[in-house]
Amino acid sequence: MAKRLLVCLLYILVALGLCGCWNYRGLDQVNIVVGIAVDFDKENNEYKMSYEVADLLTAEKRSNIGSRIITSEGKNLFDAARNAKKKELNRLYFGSSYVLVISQQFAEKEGIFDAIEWFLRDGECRETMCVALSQEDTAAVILKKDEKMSGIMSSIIHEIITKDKSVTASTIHMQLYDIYNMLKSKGNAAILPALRKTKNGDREVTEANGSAVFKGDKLAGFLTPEESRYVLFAEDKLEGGILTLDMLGRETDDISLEIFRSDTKKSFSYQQERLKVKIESSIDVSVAENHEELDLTNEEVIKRIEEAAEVMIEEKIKAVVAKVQQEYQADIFNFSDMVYKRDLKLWEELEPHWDEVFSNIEIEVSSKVHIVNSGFIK
Amino acid sequence: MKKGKVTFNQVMFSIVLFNFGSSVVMGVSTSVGQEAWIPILLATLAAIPMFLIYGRIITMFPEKDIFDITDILFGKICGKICIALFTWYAIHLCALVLRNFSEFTQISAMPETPQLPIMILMILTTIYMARSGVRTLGKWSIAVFFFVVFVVLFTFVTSIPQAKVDDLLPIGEHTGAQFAESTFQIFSFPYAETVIFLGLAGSFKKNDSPYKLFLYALAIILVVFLLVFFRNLTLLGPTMMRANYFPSYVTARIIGISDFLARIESTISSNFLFAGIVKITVCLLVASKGLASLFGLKDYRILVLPLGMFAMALCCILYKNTMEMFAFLKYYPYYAFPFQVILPLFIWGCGELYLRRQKQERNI
Repeated sequence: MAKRLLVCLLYILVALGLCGCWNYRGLDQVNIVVGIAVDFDKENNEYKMSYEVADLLTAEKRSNIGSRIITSEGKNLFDAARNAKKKELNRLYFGSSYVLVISQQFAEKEGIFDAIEWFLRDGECRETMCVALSQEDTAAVILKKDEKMSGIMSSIIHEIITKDKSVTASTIHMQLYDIYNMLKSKGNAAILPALRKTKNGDREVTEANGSAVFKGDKLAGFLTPEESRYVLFAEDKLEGGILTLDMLGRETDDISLEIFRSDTKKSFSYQQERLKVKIESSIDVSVAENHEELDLTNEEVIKRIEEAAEVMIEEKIKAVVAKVQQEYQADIFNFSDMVYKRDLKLWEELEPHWDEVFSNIEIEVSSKVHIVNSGFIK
Repeated sequence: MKKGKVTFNQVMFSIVLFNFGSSVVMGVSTSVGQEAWIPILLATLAAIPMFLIYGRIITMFPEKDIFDITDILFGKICGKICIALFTWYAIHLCALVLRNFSEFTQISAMPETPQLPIMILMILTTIYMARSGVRTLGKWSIAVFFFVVFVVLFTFVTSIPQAKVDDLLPIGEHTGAQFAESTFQIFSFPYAETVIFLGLAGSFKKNDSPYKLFLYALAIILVVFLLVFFRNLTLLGPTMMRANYFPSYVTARIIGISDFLARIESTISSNFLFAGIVKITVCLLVASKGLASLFGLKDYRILVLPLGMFAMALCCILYKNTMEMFAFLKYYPYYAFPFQVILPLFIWGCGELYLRRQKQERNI
C-alpha cells in the first residue's frame, strides 16, 4: 500500500514537472502586437516598423484596453522586430495582430511581397491578418490614434475593413494568404484596401478610401471607393451596400437601393484571336429612400427603377474594368486564373503575351436588378 | 481471448492510424497541386495488390511473424539476413517519424525549445507503450481513432464556408511522369509502410481475414486522405498548399467561423501526436521483435528501451535541418522499395513454393 502511494505521489510530481513549456512566456512578459505598419527609410536604407501594442498595464478596470505605439528600425522586417527589444522591457508577440499596413513608398519601390513574406514564414503571425495600404506619407500614421480616442486603432481598422463588404461595399478585404495566392497566381496582380486619415468631427480618424491596385507586387494606382464597389461586383465579393440613382434626370440622386444579395458569374469566349469576358451580375435590392415619392406600387415605376439601376451597374463595371485594363494593366479580376482553370490549352497559348491580351479583352456586362421590397412605406 | 492477441478492429484502426502517422500533417504528396487527388487514387489502386500480398503472407503462415516465416523459408543464415534488413527498416522508420514529429513541433509551436527534449518525451511514451505490448497498442488505437477522424471531419465541415471549389481546376495540367512520381511517393509514403505490420502478424487472430483487415483499413485511409486533400486545397489554394511544409496545420489556422471558433490548429497537432505515437510504437515493437529473433531471445521487451534510445540517437543525426528532411522525401520511395515491395514479394514467392512442396510431400 505504502509503495503504491509513493508511486502515485511520484506520478503527480513528474506530471507537475512536465506541464508548462520551455518557451514559457507570461502575459506580462510580452508586448501583444495588434497592428503593424511597415515603412522604408530610403536615406538609411532601413525598414522602419511601427507596432501598436495592447497596453495591459495602464488598463484600468472600467476603461477599455488602451494601446501605444512602438517603433523600431532594422535591415529587414525580422531584424526590426527584434530591434524593438532594445528600447522595450518585453519582447514583441505577433500572434494576435489584426492588421498590417504597408506604406505607399514601400509598395512602389520594394513591392509588397517583401513585406508579407516574413509574416507568412514566421510561425507566430497568423495567415488571416488583414493587409492594407496607407495613402498617407507613412504607414505609421495610420495606426496613430487621436488623443481623444480610446480603444485599439488596429482593431477598429480591422472591423472597418472586414465588415465593409456587407455594409458600405467600398473597399476589399484581403488576408495575408489571399495576397500570397493572388501574387503567385497566373494574373500576378493584387488589390488591397487603401487607408487614409481624415477628420471625423473634431477627431482625426482612419478611413477606408477605396483600394490600391498592384501589378506584380508593385503599386500601380488607386481606385475610388465607388470604383472599388464595382470591383467587388465583378469579383462576386459583394454582400451589401447602397446604390443611388437619379430617376428624374437632375443633379442629385433621389433613389437609394440597399443591396441584400448579389451574385456574379463570369465566363469567357475566344473568337478571332480576341478574348471576350462576360460578367453577369444579379442582385436583390430594396428601395430604401424615395425622395420624389415615386409610386412604388406601380409595376411600371418599379420596372423603370430596376432598368435604370441595371444600366448604371453595367456602365460602372465596364468603366472600372476598362480603367484597370488601360491605366494599370493589372489583372485584379483574375481573368487569367479563370482562363487557366477552365481552358488550359487556351491559357498556354495566351500566357506569353498575357499583358497585351488583358488590355484588349472585350468586356460584356449584363446585370439583373430585382427589387424585393420598399421598406415600411408604400 | 488468448494472451497477446489483438482483435480485428484494434489491428485495423492501428493500421489506419499508422498510415495517418506523419502524412496527415505533412500532407500527402502535393507536387501536382490541384490534381493530387489523382495520384492518391492511383496509389491506392497500386496499394491493393501489395496489401493482398501482405495478407497472403499472413494467411500462408497463420499466427507467425515475418521473422518466424523467414526462418522457416530460408533457414538460419539467409533468414537472419532478411530479419536484419527488416529490423533495420523498422528502426529507421521509427527514427524518421520521430524526427518529423520533433521538427513539426519546433516549427509550429516551440521555436526556441531544442528538439531533444521533445524527442525524449515522445520516445519515452512510445517505449512505455511498446513494452506494454500489442494489446495496449490496439486499445490505444481504438481510443484515439475516433478522435482523429472526428478532427478531420470537423475541420472539413468548418472549412466549407471558406472553400473555393474552383481551385480544383484545371485538370490535365501535369504530365504523366509527374503523376507517376507523385503516385510512387504516396504509395511508398505512407501506404506500403504498412509492410511493418508483418512483424506483428503473430498477434493477429487466426480467424480474422488479413485481406479484409488490410483492405478495410485502406478504404478508411483513402477517404480520410481525400477529405484532408480537398480541405487543404480549397482553403489554401494550390500555390499556398505547395509552398507550405505543413499544409494541414496552416489550413486549421485559417479556418474560422466568426470569431469564436478559430485557432483550432492545436487539434491538428494532437492528431499528429496521437497517430504519431501509434506509428512510432509499431515500428519500435517490430524492431525489438526482429532484434530478439535475430539473437534468439525469447522476450523482446528488454530490447525496447535500448532500441528506443538507438532510434533517438539515429533520429538526431538523420538530417541537418528541416529542408533536408523534406528533400529526403523525394528519395525515400527508392530507398524503401526493397523493404516494401521486393522483400515481401520474395517471401511470398518462396512461401508459395514451400507450401506446394509440402503438399506434394504429404501426397507422397
